[in-house]
Amino acid sequence: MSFLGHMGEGWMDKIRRWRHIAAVMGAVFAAAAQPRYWPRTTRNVFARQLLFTAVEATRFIALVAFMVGISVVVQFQYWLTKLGQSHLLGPALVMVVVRELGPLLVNFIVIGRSGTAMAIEMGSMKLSGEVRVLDAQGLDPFTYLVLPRVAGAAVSVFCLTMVFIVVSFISGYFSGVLLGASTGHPRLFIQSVFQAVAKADVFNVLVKTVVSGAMTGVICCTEGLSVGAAATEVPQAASRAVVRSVAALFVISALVSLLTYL
Amino acid sequence: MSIASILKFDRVSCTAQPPYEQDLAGVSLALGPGDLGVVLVPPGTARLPLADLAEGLLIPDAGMVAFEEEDWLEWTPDDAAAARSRIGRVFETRGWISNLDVDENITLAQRHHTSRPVAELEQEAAALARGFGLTELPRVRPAVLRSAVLRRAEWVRAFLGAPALILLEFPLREVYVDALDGLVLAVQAARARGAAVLWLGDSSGDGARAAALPGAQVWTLSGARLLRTGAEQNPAAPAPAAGFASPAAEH
Repeated sequence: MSFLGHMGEGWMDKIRRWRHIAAVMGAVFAAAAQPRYWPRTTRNVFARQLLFTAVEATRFIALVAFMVGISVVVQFQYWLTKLGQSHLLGPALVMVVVRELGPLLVNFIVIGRSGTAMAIEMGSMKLSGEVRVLDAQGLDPFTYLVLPRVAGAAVSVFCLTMVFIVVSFISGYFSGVLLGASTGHPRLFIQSVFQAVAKADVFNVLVKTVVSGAMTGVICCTEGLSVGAAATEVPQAASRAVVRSVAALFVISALVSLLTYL
Repeated sequence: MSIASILKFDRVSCTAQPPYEQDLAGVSLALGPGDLGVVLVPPGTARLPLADLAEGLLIPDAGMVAFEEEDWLEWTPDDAAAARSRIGRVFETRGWISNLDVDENITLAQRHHTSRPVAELEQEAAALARGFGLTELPRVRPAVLRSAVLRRAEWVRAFLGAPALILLEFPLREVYVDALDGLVLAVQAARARGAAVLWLGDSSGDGARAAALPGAQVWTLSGARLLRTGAEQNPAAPAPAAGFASPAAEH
C-alpha cells in the first residue's frame, strides 16, 4: 500500500472508531430515558458506580478545590482589589472556575480515578469470560455493564463539579480574608458570583460535565470491552482509554466554549 | 400454549473459535418438555460449543438452532435476552461474576428479568442449595470459595426460577460423586414440571450415570458428529421427586 494509502487507512480507522463511540453514546442516551432499560440489577450497578465515582471521590475533589480556592480565587481577589476593579470579581471567577477550571479538573480526576478502573474492570471481565456469562443469562452487557457506568460517570462529574465550585469559592473567600485581600462581606461575594452567572454558563457547565462524563464512561467501557484474548491487552486498553478520554474532554470543552461564548 | 420442542438442532455445523476447540458437523437433536438429552463426551475431548449454540450465543455455519420452536436468528436482541432468562446453565468453566457475591450471582438473572422479591428468590435458592448438600447460600465472593462448593452453587443457579431448558456442562467436575444423587433428583423434578435438560458429561463418568436415567436420549460425540446411541428406556417424563417440588413458574 502506498504512503498515502496508509495515511488514509489510519484516518478511516479513527473515523470508524469515533463513529462507533458516538453510536454507543447515542444508544446510552436513548436507553437511559426508557424505564425498561433500568431493571433493579442495572439500578444497583448505577448506585455502586455513583458510590465509587462520586461519593468516594468527594473528599479528594474537595481537597483539590480547597487548594484551587487558595491559589486562584485569592489571587483574583488580591489583584482586582489592587486595581480597584473588585466588582469584576464575580464575572472573573465564573469565567475561570465555573466555566473552565471546575469541569476540566473534575473530569481529569474522574478519568484518572474511575475511567481507568472501568476500562480495567471491563477488560478483565471480557478476558475471564464474565461478559459471556452475563450474555448466557440474558443480561445484555450494554444494559448491565455500559449503561449504568456511563450514566453514573455523567451524574458523578456533574455533582463533583458542583462540589468543586462551592468548595473553591468558600476556601478562596476565607483565604482572602485571612490574607487581608478580601474587601467585601460574604453576602456581597456570593451576590457578585451569582450575578455573573448567565444562562449560557448553566448550559456550558451542564454540557462540559454531563456530556464529558458520559463520553469518559463510553470510551472506557468500549476500550475495556475491546480486549481480546491476551492479558497484556488490559493495561493497553486502559492506557488508550485515558488518552482518548482526555482528548475527547479537550475537544468537547473547546467546542462548547466556542459555541457558547462566540 | 404448549410447546412441542424446547430445543432443536437441525443439521448444525460450527467451526470452533476460541475458547472452543471442537468443531461440530451435522448435529441434529430435539428435546421437548420433560426430555433429558445426554451427550457423552470421550475423555480428552476439546471444549465443545454445544451449550453456546443452544443459547443462541454462537451462530452456526450451517443449519438452525431453535429455542421454543423459534430460530435464534429470528429473535430480536431484547427477545433473545428474555428467552435466555428461561435457560438455566452450569458452565464448563468460569461461570461467575467476580465482583458479586455468590448469592448475588445466583439470583442475578432472576433479579434482572423478573420482579420477584429478593427474599422469595433467596428462599427458593436456599431450598435448592439444601437439596444439593449446601447448608446455606454462600455470601462471599466466588474467588474465596472451594470449587466443590462453587459447583453446587452453580447447580442452584441453573435450577432457580423453574427454567424451561437446563444446560448442564460437565456438572460433576470438581464435585465428589456422592453429590450426584441431589443433582439427579433436581433433574427429575425439573423434567416432571416440563423442563428439558441437556447434559454434557464424560462418557466414563457422570455422563454414563446420566445416560442410565429413565427416558434419557443419548448421543455420543464421535469426531465432529453426534451419534445417537441406544433407545429411550422410558419415554415418559418422571414424577416429581420429593424435596424438589417445582417452584412458581410464573414471574
